[in-house]
Amino acid sequence: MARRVLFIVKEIEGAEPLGALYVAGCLRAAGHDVRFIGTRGVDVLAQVAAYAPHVVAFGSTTGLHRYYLGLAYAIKQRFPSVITLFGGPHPTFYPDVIFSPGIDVICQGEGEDAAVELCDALDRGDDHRSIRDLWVKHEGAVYKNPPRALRRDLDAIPNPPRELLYEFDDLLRRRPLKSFTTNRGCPFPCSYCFNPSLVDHYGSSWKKVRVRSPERVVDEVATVQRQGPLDVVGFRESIFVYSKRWLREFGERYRDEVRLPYYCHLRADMLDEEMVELLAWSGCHTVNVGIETASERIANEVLDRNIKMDRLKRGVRLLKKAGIVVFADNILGIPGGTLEDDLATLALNVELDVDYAAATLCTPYPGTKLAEYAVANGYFSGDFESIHESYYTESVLRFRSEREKRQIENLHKVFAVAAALPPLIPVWKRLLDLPPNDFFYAMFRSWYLVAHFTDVMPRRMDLEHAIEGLRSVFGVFYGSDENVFATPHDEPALVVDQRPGASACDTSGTKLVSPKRLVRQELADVR
Amino acid sequence: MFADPKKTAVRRVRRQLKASASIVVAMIAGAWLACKPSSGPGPSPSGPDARVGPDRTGGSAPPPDPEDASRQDPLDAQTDAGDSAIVEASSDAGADSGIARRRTAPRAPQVDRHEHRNGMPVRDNLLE
Repeated sequence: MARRVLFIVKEIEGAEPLGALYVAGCLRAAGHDVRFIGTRGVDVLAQVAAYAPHVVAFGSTTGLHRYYLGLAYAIKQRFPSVITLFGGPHPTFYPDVIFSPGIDVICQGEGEDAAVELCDALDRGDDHRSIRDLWVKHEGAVYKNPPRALRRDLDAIPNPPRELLYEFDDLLRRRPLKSFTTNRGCPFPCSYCFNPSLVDHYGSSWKKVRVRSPERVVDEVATVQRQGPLDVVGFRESIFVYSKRWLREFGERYRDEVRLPYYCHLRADMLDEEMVELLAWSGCHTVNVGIETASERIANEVLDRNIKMDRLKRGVRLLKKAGIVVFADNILGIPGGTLEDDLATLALNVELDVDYAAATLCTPYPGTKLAEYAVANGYFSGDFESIHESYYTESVLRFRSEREKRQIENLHKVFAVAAALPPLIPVWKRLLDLPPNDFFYAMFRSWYLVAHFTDVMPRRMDLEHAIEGLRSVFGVFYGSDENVFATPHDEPALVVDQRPGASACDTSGTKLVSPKRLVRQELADVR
Repeated sequence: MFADPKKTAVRRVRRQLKASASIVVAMIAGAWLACKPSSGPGPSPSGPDARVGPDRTGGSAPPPDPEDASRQDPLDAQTDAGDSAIVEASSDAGADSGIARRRTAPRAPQVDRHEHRNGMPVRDNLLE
């Protein structure tokens, strides 16, 4: 009998959880039953009781993981026979999360094949302790398994079954902006990103980008367009396109079958006139480029971007000349950087006349080279549990003074609007010494809301969405998430390491590895 | 390939006007929020008001029905060898009626300063 798998997504109202949806599509193709639920205004335990899943799955970034660990533990206490499966970036780069008592299985990396293999094994009653990509906790022991080879043919993966989201809440179907992907992998070594860490995990094969065919991509977009309102198409991979030939073929099909504005991510230094012309011709409305910092030294020595600033500037100017909206990503509070560096970054965004200057606070996620650098140079304590749910709140890094930390955090809140109205920059500078306040957070939300709906990704907004957006500026939100459970402490377990090169399986029962000791060892290795 | 420079200039002016308007909205919102009584940071998994277990809640999880006390939870009746008859009997019901639609429950708006200072500014967001 097929397994029932319940995906729980905390921010289901946000962008579609494509990773989880791809896994769900493969599970359904293998004959299993899948559901998705959100958490706001939902009693998750009651939903679990009603659906009676065999497997409950979560995908999480670091920071958000604490929420899911508490929820998973609550589910295990109430429904002991449910298998809890934890995937996404946090367990991929911090697999010791398996020692949390609420977690039965963690999945590292791409989870489509591992999830299917797990559910098939559970269905047949087979041993599931040796499935590649998974670490499995079973009867007091943790079984660590190596990664599997990457799937090369992305076209063979079923399209994400978005209707699973709409079955939960039809409001999600009516959202006129939907997201898609064209490829996986990235050849660039940027230290703040998960991609180089996936090279450590999978080997150099991760750097060889795997691409979906233009036909497959356009077919998926056209299908979604027929299913419901769609005003703007968002492509969410690290870099949208590498090949002009691919872009040309994509553009021909896209103009013929879809003809909607689309948004994508690109490296500005990859652009030339021909590429920009193809982008504009194919329907590209907005390009997200990473400016990150104005300092070429920081960009290359700390962020490992291998970039020349003059090529970056040229690429942005080409986009502006072509009439493409430029959404610039910037990182503030970089280890080794100063407030003056961040103000220089603001000045660069003004100089390039970007349409929206987004900013995040530098966050040293586990498994990233940036985190190793920050710990090694004393900018970060190494306590990954201190990382916030989002990188829009506070920095966890050390600066020259508490005052500078506060100034950078305040600059982050007003960065975008300051870049949009340069004459007011001197005023904002004088306000940077204020304590964190509701006005700055409201400013962050207010300009983001207006710019996104009217400039960056213009789309029709129904009254319900508009009211919800405006209310969010005033701190008013619908429903609340009552599913907040205390994060349990880790529990030690016997470790059976089945990865190549590991010591022989220690099943003597005498070796207990404390998770705290494991974490300390990893930090010592970094230092 | 080149866009009309006038269009780019017009877009810039419109952007500045919209940014100015958003500042005014933010000032009103900030003042309004500042006048609200200070509420705590909101429930957090590591905070003191996190729930400590599924049975000690704010009332949102339904208590077990005493009349069903003798009936096994179909999920706990599962064994590794396979699904019990109870689970199989309930599976069809689960597939049809298991997950309630969220929209059937009213969503009361409320001020949440923790959420205001946390997470993406707009939920419908592609930029993660």
